Amino acid sequence: MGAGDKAKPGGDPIPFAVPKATCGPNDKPEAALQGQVPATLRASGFKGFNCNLELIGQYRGEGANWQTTQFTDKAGHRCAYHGTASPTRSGPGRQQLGSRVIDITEPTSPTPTAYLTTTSMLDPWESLKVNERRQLLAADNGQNGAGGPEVDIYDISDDCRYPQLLASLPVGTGTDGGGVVTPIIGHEGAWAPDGLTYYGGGRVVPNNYYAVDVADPTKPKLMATWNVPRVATGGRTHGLSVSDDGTRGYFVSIGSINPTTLTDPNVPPNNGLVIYDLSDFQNRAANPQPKVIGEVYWKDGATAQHTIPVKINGKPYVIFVDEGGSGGTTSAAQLQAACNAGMIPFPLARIIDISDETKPTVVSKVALEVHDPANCSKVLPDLTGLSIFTYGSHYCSVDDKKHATTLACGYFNSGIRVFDIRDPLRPKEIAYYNPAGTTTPSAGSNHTLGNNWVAGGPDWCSAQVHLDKKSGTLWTTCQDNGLLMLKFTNGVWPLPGSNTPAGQQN
Amino acid sequence: MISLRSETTRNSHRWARWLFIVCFVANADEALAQEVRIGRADCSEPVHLVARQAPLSSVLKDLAESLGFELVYQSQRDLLVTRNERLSATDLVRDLAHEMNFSIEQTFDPRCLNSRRVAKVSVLPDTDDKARSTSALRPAWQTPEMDRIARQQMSDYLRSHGMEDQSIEDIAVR
Repeated sequence: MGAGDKAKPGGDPIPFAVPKATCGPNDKPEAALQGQVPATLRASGFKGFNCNLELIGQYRGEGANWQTTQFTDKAGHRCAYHGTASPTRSGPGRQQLGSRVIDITEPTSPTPTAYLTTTSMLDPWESLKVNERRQLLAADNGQNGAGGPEVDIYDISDDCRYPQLLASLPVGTGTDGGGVVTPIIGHEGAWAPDGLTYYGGGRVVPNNYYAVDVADPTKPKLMATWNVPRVATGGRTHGLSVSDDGTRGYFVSIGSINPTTLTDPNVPPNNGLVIYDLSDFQNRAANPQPKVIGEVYWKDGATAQHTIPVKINGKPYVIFVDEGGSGGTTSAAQLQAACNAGMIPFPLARIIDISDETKPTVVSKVALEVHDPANCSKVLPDLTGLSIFTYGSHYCSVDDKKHATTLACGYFNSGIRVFDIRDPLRPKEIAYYNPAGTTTPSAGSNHTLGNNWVAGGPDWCSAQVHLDKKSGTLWTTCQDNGLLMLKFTNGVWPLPGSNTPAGQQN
Repeated sequence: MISLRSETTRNSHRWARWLFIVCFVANADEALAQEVRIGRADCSEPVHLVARQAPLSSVLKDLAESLGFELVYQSQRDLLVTRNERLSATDLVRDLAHEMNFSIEQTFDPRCLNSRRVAKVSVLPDTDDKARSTSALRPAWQTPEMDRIARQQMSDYLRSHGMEDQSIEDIAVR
């Protein structure tokens, strides 16, 4: 229990929503519920909200899509990387396809330096990740659901502004030398921290996770594929993370309960966390296979997105973020079912205690007021005509996985939000920035998916947030506004004990 | 034109608080007055912009002169702006230019504690001649092809995440 629940057994009641940030005198705070962009503001053209965060630099370019990653090279160049819509899913007028490389060394003047246009980089979807130790950038071929078996790897060690291609090759097709023939399908992906293995989560067919040996980054080869434990009841693959020693995997089981069975006790949940022992892969055992150590599932969230293993005050947790609310990804039927059942209608982040990794336990939910089912009647009118994501979460990051104090998340319609998680049972909001809507969609954005882009409506902020203690800033992308560099104000961050060591944010 | 950038004394800041720059440009064709008024306040206080049917380039030019930033305007388009709002300088520029391909650079303002000022605004060339030529008639993105792409993206998404394919109309909030 914790924030996101009505009460803590045997303790003080904990409000459903996390306490709101206290804004400064020059801020433009939210006008209604926490996280809400009311229908009236959408209709008149949403001008944005900010609280303890101010914009200091922006590069809109052709917009962005789902995710970001970053690296600082030995010369001190700080580089931002983000994907854009695939060639076949872009808006009109695309000038330059591919993943963006943006020099953010000077936070106030983000400057594009390169466009990566190899197969996977045309739309890495949710797989674009940097490995800090080996100074590599990798992605699989997502193409927003229409991709194939390629893995692309770049060397970013010399000058992160100009990545050098090492491989853009099919994996699992029988030609990679790994001996395992199951063509992978790009979607999500993440590195083992030692940079020797790249794990991925594919699509419904073939519906598997996979491990790719990238010890030789010029020759990625498939080691194994596997399904999640509850595949028979609809469990699927998506995002994942790996412990620092490479032996534990925190993989999501992406579940979508039909809204009509949301409250049916005979239909078990299939959305949740699976902790795997990955020692076989880490140790390069023959015929490697993952072993399930622990699992936890829930029905008040769906379409599980990703995980971050962290320690808070020395205790191990997993930050877990859903992409769908109770009963599935946002839809009219799902929202109605969730609201009728008094369950959380939109996805959010939750904090899971993994002290006993055989029994992972959810201890708190990072809920906003818009997530409270008691507020359904106030927020549903905002969403007329929209069909997906809306007030939901997508990606989160922390300041330091080894000593986490701060959680920063992108919420599609609710903007960038930052939380103090030093007490993991009682997260507190400390800042937010929800950018103004745009009057045209960006050509490289995916916000037009399902005709969900509306003139003047709030943007989709769906990417990882990158905190930087030294400059007191964060950067991220929102799909139509592009790259945003924000500075904390009013002394709210860094928190005591906050640090942002390289490669320890997500 | 009066440059507020040169103001360095407390008195002149106070004086500038209520200063408005007004320019009227006759438009013989439409018999409309184009008007831009900019009220500049101290440090982090908001800027008050009043504009009526004024070309974006003119509004940004006046803002650049008033607030002391460099303006590079390379777009072939010049939207007409009608505004009456008080926003921070950064938010104001973003709001005005957000339909364009633009970038903002900021720098510390030594005159003000904990404050930044806009140093440079670049409105970049348009991305597509065709889009430019049709923009006056209909937004370039609002086409049957974009509707097809929007539906294909939704279908891709649902199928890729373990859900049944459904039409947008079936799942949209009503």
